[in-house]
Amino acid sequence: MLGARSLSLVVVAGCIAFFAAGVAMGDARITSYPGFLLAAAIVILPIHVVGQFRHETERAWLPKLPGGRANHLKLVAFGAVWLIAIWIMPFTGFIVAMTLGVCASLTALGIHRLYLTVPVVSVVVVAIFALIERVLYVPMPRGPLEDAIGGLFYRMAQGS
Amino acid sequence: MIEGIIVGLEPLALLAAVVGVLLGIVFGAIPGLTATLGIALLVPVTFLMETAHGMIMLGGVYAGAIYGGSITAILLNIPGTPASVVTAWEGHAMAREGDAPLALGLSAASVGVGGLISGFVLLWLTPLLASVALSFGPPEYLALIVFSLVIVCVMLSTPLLGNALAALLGLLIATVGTNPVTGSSRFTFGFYELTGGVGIVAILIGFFCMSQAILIGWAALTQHQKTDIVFGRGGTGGALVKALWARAGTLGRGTGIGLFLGILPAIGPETTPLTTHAVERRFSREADRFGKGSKTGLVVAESSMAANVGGSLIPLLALGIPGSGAAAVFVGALTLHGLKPGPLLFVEHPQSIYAFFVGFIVVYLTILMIGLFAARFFAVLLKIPNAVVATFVAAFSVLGAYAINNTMFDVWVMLGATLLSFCLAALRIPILPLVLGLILGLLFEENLVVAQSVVRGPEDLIDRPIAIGLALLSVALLAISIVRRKRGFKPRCSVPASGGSSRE
Repeated sequence: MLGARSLSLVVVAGCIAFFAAGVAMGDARITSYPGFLLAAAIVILPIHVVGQFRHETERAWLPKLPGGRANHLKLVAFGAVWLIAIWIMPFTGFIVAMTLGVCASLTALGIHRLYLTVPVVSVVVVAIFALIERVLYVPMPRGPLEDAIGGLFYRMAQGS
Repeated sequence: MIEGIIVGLEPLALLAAVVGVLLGIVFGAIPGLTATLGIALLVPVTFLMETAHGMIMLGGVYAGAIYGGSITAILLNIPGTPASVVTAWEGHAMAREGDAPLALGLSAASVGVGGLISGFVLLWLTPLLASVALSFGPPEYLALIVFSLVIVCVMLSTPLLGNALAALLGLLIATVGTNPVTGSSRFTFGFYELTGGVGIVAILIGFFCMSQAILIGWAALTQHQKTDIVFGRGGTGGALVKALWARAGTLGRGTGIGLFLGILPAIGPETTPLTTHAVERRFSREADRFGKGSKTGLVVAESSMAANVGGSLIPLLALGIPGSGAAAVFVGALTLHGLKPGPLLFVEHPQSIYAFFVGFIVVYLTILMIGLFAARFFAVLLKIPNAVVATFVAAFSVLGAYAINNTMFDVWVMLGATLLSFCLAALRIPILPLVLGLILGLLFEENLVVAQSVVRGPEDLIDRPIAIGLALLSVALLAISIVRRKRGFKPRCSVPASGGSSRE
C-alpha cells in the first residue's frame, strides 16, 4: 500500500500531468512558454524527490496522533464531512448542507451536545444566509428550504 | 492626494479601520487563524463598501491580526500567528513573572510606534518608488519578477530545488485560461469556468484557510490547553513609559530593520522578529536576559514585526509584488476591486490609494489605543474550543470560495488547493514561491511576449541598466545561495513551508 508521501507524489505528478495532457492535446506547444515551464517541472520533480528522500524509508507523513486510530478516523471524518457537504450543497441548498456540515464536523471533533449545537447552528446558518442573500446580494445555492424562505421574504416585502 | 487624505479621514473610513483592527485582533488572537486567513475570508464583505474603505478594513485586518497574535503569545505562550513566536519567548516569560500587563503594554506600544512609522514611510516612499517604476519597460519587469522569485527561493530554508519547483508550478498554474497572445483557451479542458484563469483567491483560501482548519481540527483532537497565568494589575502607566523610553534606540532599530526586510519580497512579518531579535541580542548589554523575559527583546521583536507589515505593502502597491503571504492575498483583494497593483495605481486611482495610506496610519493609532487600554479583554477569546474554531474556519472557507464568483467550481478548486498544499508539504516543497509564481505568472508572460519583440539582441539591453542590474543580482544571489548551501549553511528564514504548516 502506498504511504502518504507516495500519494503526495502522485498528486503533484498528476498536477504536472494535467499540463502535459494539455500540451499533448495542442493547447500549447512544447517550445512555448508553458511548454518550457512544464519541461522544467518534469525534470526537477524527480531530482528533488530522489535528493530529499533517497536515504529515508517511506513513512506516514502525518505524525502519530494521541489516541491512535480513533483520532485518525475522527480527522478523516472531519474532512469527509466537508467533502460531502460541498457535494450535496447544489441539491439540498446552502442552509441544509451547511447546517449538516457544521453539526457533523463538531461531532467528529468531539463536541457531542447535539441538542445544543443543532438549534444554535441552524439559527446562525439561516442568519448568514439572510445576510449574504439580502445584504450582500450574493445568490447562494438554493434548495426547497431556501425557496420557502425566499417566498417568505417576498410576502413580507409585499406586506401580505 | 488631498482628496484621498480627506476620504481616508471620513467617519466611515475611520469606522472601517477600527472594525478591521478589531476583526484582525480576533483572528490573530485565536491560535490557528492568521492574517492571511482573515483577509481571504473578509474579501467578500468589502464588496459592500466603497473601495477605499474596504481596503482600509483589510489593512486593519492585516495589521490587527499580526498584533493580535501577540496577545495569546504573551498570555498563553501560544503564538496566535507565526509572527509572534519571539513575543511568546519574551512576553510569556514576563507574564509568568507577574508582568503580563506590562508585557501587553510594551507589545502594544512597540507595535503602535513601529506601525505608525511604517505608515508614514508607506505614504512618502511608495509614490517615489512607483514613479521610478513608471520608467520600467517589459525587460525591467521581467528582471524584477525573476529577482522576486529568486530572492524567495534563496531565502527559504527548504531545499533550493523544491523552492524552484514550487515557483515553476505557480507560473504553470497561472497559464491556465486564455492565451494572452492568441486569445485562445489553454489548459481549460472544456471547463468554461477556467477560461478566465484559475481563481487565485480560491486557491489561496485552500492553501491558507481550509488546510489550517484541518490542522486546528487535529489540534482539537490532541490538545487541551489551559493557562495558569494570573493577570496582575498596573504596569501600563509610568512603568510602561519608563521602560519604553529606556529602549528608544531598540525601538528605532527594530522599526528600521523591520521596514527594510518588509520591502524585500519573501521576508514577511513571520521571520523578521527572529532576525531583529538575534541582531539586538548581539549588541545588547542584557544579552543574557534574552529569551527569559527581556523587555528589550520584546520591544525589538514587536516593533520590527509591525514595521514589516507597512514595508511589505510598499513593493505590493508600487510594483505589484507581494512581500508576504498575507500581502499576496491582499493583491487578490485589490485586483477584485479593480485596482491593479503597480505604478499606474497612483495615476489611475490616486484618491483610493492615498485614502488607504491615511487609513493605514489610523489603523496603527487604533491598535495603539486598543492595545494600551483593552488588550486584556481579548483573553476571553481563548475560551473558544479548537473544535469550534476548526469547524467555522472550514465553513467560512467554503463560503468565501463560493462567494468570489457565486460558483461551486471555485469551492472545488479551493479543496484541490488544500489537498495540494498538504502534498507539497509532504514532499518538502514550500507554498510561498508557488503563490508568488501564481500571482506574478500572467504579468510575467505578458511582459515576456512584449520583451521578445522589444529586445532583439544583447545590444538592445545596453541602455537598460535596471534590467541588467536586477538580472545580474538574481544570478549572483542564486550562485551565492548554491555555494553556501553546498558548504552546509542553511538560511534562517524558516517561513512556513505551506499554508497548512504555518501553525507549527
